[in-house]
Amino acid sequence: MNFQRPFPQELLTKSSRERLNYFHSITVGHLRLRQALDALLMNLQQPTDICVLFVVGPAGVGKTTLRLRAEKLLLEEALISMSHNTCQIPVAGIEAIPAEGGKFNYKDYYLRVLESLDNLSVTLSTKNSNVNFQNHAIGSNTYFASKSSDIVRRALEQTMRHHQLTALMVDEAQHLLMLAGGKQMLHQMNWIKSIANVTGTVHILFGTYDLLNCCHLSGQVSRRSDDIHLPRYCSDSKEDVTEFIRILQTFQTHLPLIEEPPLVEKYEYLLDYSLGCISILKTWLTRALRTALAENAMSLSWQHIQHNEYSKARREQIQQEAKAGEQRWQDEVGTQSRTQMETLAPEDLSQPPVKRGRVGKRQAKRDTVGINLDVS
Amino acid sequence: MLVNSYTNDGLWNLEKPVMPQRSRLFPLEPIGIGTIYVESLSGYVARLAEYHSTTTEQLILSKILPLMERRMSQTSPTDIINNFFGIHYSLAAANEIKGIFATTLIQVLEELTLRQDLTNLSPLKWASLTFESSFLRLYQAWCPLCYGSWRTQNRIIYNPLLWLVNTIKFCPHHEHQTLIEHCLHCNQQFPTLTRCSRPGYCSSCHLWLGDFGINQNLDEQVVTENSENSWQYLLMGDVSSHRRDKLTWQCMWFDDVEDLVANEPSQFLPPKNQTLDDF
Repeated sequence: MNFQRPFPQELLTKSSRERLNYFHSITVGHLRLRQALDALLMNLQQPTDICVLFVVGPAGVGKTTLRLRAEKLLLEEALISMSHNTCQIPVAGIEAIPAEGGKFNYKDYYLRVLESLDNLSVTLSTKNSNVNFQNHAIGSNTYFASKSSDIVRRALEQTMRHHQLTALMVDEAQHLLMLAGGKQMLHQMNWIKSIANVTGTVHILFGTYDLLNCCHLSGQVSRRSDDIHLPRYCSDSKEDVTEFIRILQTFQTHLPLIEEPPLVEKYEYLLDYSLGCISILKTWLTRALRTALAENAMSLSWQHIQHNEYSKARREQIQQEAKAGEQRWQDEVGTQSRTQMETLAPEDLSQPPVKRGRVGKRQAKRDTVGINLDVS
Repeated sequence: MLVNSYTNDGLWNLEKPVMPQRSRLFPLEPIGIGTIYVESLSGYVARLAEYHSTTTEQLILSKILPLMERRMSQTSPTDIINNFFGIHYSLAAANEIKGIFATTLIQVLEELTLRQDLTNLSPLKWASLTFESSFLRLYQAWCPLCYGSWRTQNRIIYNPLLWLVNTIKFCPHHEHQTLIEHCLHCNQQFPTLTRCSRPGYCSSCHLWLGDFGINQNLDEQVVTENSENSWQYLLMGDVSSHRRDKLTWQCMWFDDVEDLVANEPSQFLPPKNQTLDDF
């Protein structure tokens, strides 16, 4: 038999963990991701006055994937200059932590960035790095942990400058900015802008549409920032559907099962139930694959997929947030994505708003009386 | 609908590339290499700590000591720390140990900063003399005029090794300025390396050690020096060669002292401080 799948045939004989890992490691550079990545890289490679970039998109659309890819590309690009300049670290990434009890801990944030830079230089530096290195990475941070947040900030600024950090990527950035009160948010925005300004490091904030709350709070910040939208695929646009099928096709050929499952046939269902978010789709398929592998199945059956679909409540929550966010994006930022948004509108109309009367008040309609034989 | 799937080129690899080795500490350039005004090793460590917004104690304990321990497995960590900070520690018997210590410290610093040129920080005939020993002062000495002028010219403040040689009583730049060992503010002496050494600042009261009214003084200095020079020139011939001989004699324990003095620029100054725009 001629083996036509894109993975090595031996994989089919490997353990289910390895097969699962293989599928997990597949990342499709699909259209929306590529567009967002291009916009992001252009902003970084040809710097203008922009010092803060917002990358917004719904949950599970692939923001973290975008971040990892951008980090990789920027590192690769800087490899030559890094070999001359032994302390250069062109890009670093952290994940923001939600404010405890609504009060943002600046020192903790600084320490996390410092730590990530320190870890980068350790993990990047020596292959024979041993416990010693780990030990003093901790040592230097306990020193700063006992200092006031001003001192830590100073140290952080100094470190960023010396490492010639061009970009700091902050994942889950909505945590940085979701604080009570508009004034507080404005303060946070100014704070980020000021660090970016002082150190010359572009800050890229990845987050949900909640970030839009803060982008436009002050003119000064708006001038120095830009937004990049990473939208989901939408069932009403033909282009989107084609691209979604293409992604499905890719996933199905990469599923390490003896028979290739015909996922594309059910693209409408998959698009609908994954809400057009590719990371959700992939998690879903990975879970289905796990079930199939546990059952030693030849292929991914319909039951496997249905069994692992996201529950209605989850989907509705994601959908609701995504829709509200897209609406806001359209209202506040985008002209470029208007065409896509317009296609969303009929879907909204198809679900007429539920009228709710007063509790206890009867609806004005005739009650059926007697035996109703007319079923039509 | 029939659509082609993505080929392997369309798949994204998210794994980061293998990086060239990164330095654990910033590769600060030592000042005055190849001249008689070369930076002292203790001064370099202090400057390194300042650069990392930390104290010398913290820098040594967290970064340098773990590597020193690995290289000097026979010496206990306490002894290593004592070698750093203890002023009278085993001074009489320790010349050999101190030599090994200084050499190891330089190796460790080279490993941390990935610089190759740090051995030049100890251009002494015997490496054992790098830290306090009979040829070097036990306490930091400095010329307030040099500190002051470097500061006004926005230059890097550093501690030349020359100031630590105990036969040198006067600043080589400012003929009538004795090297000072006592802080003008608190009247304390402090060792060349303390827990919070910072070039230009007192380790006990943390105040500035340089001269403030420097512009005026410097001008006076130049004027008097010039008139004196011309007078000396008439009497004894070339003053600069005379000064060079004097330096050579004073620094006779430097390696290749004649070469160093011969290469000496007439007025050596440390490089300018980098500003934000330079990054």
